[in-house]
Amino acid sequence: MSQENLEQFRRLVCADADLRARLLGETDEAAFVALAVAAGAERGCEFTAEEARAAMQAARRAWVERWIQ
Amino acid sequence: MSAADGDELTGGAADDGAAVGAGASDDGLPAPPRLSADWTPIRFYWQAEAPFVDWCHTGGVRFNAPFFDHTIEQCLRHPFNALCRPQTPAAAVAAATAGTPTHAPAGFIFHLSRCGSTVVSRMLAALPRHVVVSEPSVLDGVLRAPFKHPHVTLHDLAAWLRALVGALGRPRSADEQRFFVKFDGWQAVCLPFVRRVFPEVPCLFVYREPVEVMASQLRSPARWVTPGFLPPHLLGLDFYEQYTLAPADYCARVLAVICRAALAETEARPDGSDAALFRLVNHRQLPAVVTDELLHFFRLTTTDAERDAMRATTKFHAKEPARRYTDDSAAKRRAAGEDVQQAAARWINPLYEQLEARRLNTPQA
Repeated sequence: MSQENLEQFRRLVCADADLRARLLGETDEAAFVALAVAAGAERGCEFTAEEARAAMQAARRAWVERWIQ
Repeated sequence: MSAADGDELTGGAADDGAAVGAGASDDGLPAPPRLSADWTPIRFYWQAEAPFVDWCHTGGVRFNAPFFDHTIEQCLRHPFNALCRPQTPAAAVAAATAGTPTHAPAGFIFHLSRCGSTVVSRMLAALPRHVVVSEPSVLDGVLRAPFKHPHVTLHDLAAWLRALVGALGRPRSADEQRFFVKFDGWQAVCLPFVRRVFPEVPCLFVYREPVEVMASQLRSPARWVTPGFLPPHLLGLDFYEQYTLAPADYCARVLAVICRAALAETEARPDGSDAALFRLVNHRQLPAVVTDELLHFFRLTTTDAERDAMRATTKFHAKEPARRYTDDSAAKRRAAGEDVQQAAARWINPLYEQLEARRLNTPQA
């Protein structure tokens, strides 16, 4: 469910310029994760900080491994 | 230069953000998000036998690093781009970017590698109105798709390539008027396909004395000069044979295939590809050929000051702009051992000589 919530959150971020600007304004990773978790919960897309960090790690790994796919 | 010299933009009015597509697509899946020019496609990948594309929020960042992926890596340091990276099916890229204008490519740069193609791209990119997307891995993913997914059709490949080039060509500021793509070295083997998809785009092929290219590749090999990256049949080898060749022989076989593909493009083509839109450039002609001839080839109009700005980039190493440029051709020739000389002589030199003959015997517009 949290994976679906994260996906829904991404779609909301794509659609909401204000939310996007708020998130882009935070460069500190811990503060960014806290902000994203709170913003998700406010919009009915609940996920935990651990789930967010795991998703971020997976995204970074996917980029590094892009040549071997 | 006047704005009139810029490409016509195609596509609708620009969105200032992105919007979630309404409803569902014809296949019942949720419609892809609509992605403004702030979003750039960065990765083409497969999931459950279906191709997808990853997007990164690049905003107004200018692609001014020597390679596109270097700029993307800078953007990916922002935690936003690790968490909020939209993913769309490859077939949905056109729908996700619909409504945002894009520049048709003003030119494609193909090359033998280690031959000055980055000098060309850096000179073009010296002008703020030029954007050069250099060796983006997202296009590599498309062009390598048939190697591991033989069911892929040319029709699908063409659609993905067209949509992704269109997405990359979207201007991210009002300054950006011309858009170029520099392909990775091995992708010259895709020249017939790329030119069929983009028949109107002028294409360059940059090459160099084979021994000099080989010396560089053997010192620091590109991933596509490593056995296993390219399908062995492309090189006339079987699966096991590719791993038994000496590095110099394998490298020479790969470079020979690239030269052969470029040579074929100089022939009159039954599919109507315009020979006048394909141009050979030897490393020895750089950098002067860019300002003296290639601007005309790419249909660009520039001022004296702009040409000076382009020339100024050549004082520095194209791939490491913090370093001043020094010509290393003689050092590379000295570094080439007997094995390199022999492999070059056997596999590449005859093709190089043919390329030179074609270049020298072709009247340049």
